[in-house]
Amino acid sequence: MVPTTNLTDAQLASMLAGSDHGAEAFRLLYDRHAGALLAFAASRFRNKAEDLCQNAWMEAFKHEWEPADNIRAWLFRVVSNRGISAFRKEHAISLDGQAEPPSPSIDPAEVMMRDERLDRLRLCREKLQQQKPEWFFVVQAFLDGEPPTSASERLGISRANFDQRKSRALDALAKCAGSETRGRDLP
Amino acid sequence: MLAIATMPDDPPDWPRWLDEQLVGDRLGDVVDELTALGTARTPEKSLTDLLGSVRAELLARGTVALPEPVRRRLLQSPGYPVSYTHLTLPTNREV
Repeated sequence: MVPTTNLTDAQLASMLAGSDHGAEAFRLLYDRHAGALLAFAASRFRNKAEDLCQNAWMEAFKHEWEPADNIRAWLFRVVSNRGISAFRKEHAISLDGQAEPPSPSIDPAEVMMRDERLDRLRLCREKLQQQKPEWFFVVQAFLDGEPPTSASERLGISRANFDQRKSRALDALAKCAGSETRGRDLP
Repeated sequence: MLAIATMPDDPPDWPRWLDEQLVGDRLGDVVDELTALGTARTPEKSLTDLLGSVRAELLARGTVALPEPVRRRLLQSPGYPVSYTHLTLPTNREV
């Protein structure tokens, strides 16, 4: 099989090792995921991003891929784990030859989790704006600290309707942000 | 559940809620949610300048002491609540 853009990640990954088309399959996978991977790495590990990504891609090329493997998730996990390890090594303070653990106040894993939650919330906000604009404007007024009485009047709805939309919108945003699948629609 | 979903419906209850958030363990979530979901404006001036003469009263009585427009700015610029915690640190230490 010749690698083409129509093939899935799993099909391309299976061609990486021991195939005549390994280089071409690698190029297609690289084109597909390198940008997002670098952006992910740069947002978390700054000046180490390029090295982390390059190493992850080199390992991916040599890896023995199974049909069920998810190469994209694997790449992100490798960059994340290696980035955290590098961070911990750099921030360990040596006292009398003893390595100290990094300060818990700058735990990179926690920082990443917060970043990911922020990204999900932003995505959910966009979805709300597109799919439920009538809820979106209510939430914006609420978060802007606009008194509900004046906001409901401005939006031409009753106060009860305002409260109901707000409540539903916040529930939908919470469910959307808690979803593991980023592309999930609002409930 | 989002941290901001606990904000009461009625404005007279907002200062008490805001006070609880400013010293609560979900302040980070509140700030993140206001940043990602709200209008999130960049603060035009420092919190000290924003508060002006009401600073002492704020530290003594909480956000109920703030004029409504100033209290609103705390929600609109999520950087302010973080600055607020720094503002109150010396007071907490004295206690």
